[in-house]
Amino acid sequence: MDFVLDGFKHALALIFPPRKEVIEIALLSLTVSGAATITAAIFAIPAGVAVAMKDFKWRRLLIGGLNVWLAVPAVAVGLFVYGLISRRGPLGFLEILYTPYAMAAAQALLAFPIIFALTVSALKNVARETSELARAMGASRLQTAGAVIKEGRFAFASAIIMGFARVVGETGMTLMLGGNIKGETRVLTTAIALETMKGNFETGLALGIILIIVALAANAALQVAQGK
Amino acid sequence: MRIRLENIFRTVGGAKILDDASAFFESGQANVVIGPNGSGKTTLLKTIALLEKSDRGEIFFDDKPVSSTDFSQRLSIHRRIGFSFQNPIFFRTSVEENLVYGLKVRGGKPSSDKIASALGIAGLAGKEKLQAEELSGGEKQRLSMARAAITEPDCYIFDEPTANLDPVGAKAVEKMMSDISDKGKTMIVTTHNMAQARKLGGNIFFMNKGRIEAGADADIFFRKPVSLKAAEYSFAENVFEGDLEESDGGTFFLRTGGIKIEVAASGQGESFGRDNGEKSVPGKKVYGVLRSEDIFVSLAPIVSSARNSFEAIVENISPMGPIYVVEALSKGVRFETVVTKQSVESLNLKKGLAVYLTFKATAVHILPG
Repeated sequence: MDFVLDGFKHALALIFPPRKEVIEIALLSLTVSGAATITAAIFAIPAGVAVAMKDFKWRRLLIGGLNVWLAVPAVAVGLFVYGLISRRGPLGFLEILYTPYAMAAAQALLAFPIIFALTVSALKNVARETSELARAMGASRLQTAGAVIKEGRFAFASAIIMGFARVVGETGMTLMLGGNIKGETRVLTTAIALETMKGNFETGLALGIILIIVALAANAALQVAQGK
Repeated sequence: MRIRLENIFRTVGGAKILDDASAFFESGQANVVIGPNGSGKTTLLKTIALLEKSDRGEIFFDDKPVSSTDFSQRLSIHRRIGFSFQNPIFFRTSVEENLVYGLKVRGGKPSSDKIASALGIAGLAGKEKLQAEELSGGEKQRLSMARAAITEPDCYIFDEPTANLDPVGAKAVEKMMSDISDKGKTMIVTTHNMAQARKLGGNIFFMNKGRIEAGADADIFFRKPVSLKAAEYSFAENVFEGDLEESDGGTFFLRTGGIKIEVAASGQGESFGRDNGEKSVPGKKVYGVLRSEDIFVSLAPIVSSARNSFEAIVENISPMGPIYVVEALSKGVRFETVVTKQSVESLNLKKGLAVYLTFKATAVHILPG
């Protein structure tokens, strides 16, 4: 028990005041996962709105396919991206393996089905009702789209936060594509794994506390978004 | 705004929702659509408002077809219609923001006087800052109608505006509709409330299984329903199944149970029937529809021009608001009639009493079997 308590004390000393290295790792984590989530949201939310509002032939198949994508393990997504961007892969010329771009790309692929599925699910009724109501009130196409976006804003916020919470805690995939290079691609999860394996429990714990704070902040934001 | 529907079809998931629906909704008056649940009323209204597409058929607004119009033309039609949904839906914002949405999308700047007036008519004065979802069911319905009315459209479409409302709420909504009707605007309303349908006046359309069976003046609709289904749906109290007979003198009778009811020919010659050409001819099974208020109750036969008078035994007397419903049996045929409380007292009506039921031959409306 003393070991854990001592670990906590040392961890808190590393956070308050925070060391430069810890700040850099935390910021990179937020940047990579934030960029990945925003990228995924840019594609997933419009696609989700379109699928929620329109009936088309392959709709059910598309939603089923995306649900399968949701169930794909993160490490498998990482493996797929690795195959694409490794030197011998079709996108190898981009030379982004072991860079934050590779990590962000994989995380975006992981976040996409989450944001898409949550958008479709949350908007299933809202989008159609809002669209019908706006049209009945004499709204133009643009005004109708604006009304749907306005009505769905909390659903979008929830979907984005859930997507972010999922990717910011991802380890294996991020390690595989980023390489956990100090000062380059080391993020909270990969650093925790490394420091713990090295026997630096207190450093790992300090980073873990930061990760938990980030996750809790995302969760609190989700509660606020859903409570509105 | 005159609206004409020609042979509208709409199928959803293999189910025919609108099946060759045709109607003409007259400009500047109330048009009431009644019909059982699932008969296609809501889909009909949404199709008229161009919120749903039909598979086939044509809709004419002021004699101009609109099925193949482009988006801007459809938008201009949307902006001539005020639509209130059966289950009012609102934007997640305040009462006032919901109220003025239609004006805003038209580029108008709602004046505070106009908002106050609309809120006052809807009985929502002082509630403009509340969230729309916080309103009661009746308030929501009135807000939905006020929202449709604030843009002063040429045509109002209200889908079951008094469904799920208590009598006070329903009365307020009826008042709003009556005010609109008084302005001489076209109004299309669906309802299950027969009294309301009668009160609104105008034309009544009966819808059944996706078809609009016919439209008629309210009085004609209730006295001469177009079909047995319409008669049942409009609570025709006395529907007799029997055979149509013709005497040597050219008089027609409906033989039902142990009695012969004299009936009047509705058209030329010996034909009875409907406007669509389907005839009821002597010797065939028919239905006779008789409204309870057309039957007189007396203790002795009365001398009058009425061609039908039958002795009957009172089986039941039950109060219904200010009137009493009297059920009486005559040779196996059950009649239902209504009398006032004073009549019950003056005639000393009671169960088992022998009475005479008198009604005109013209009061019996014959429908083909």
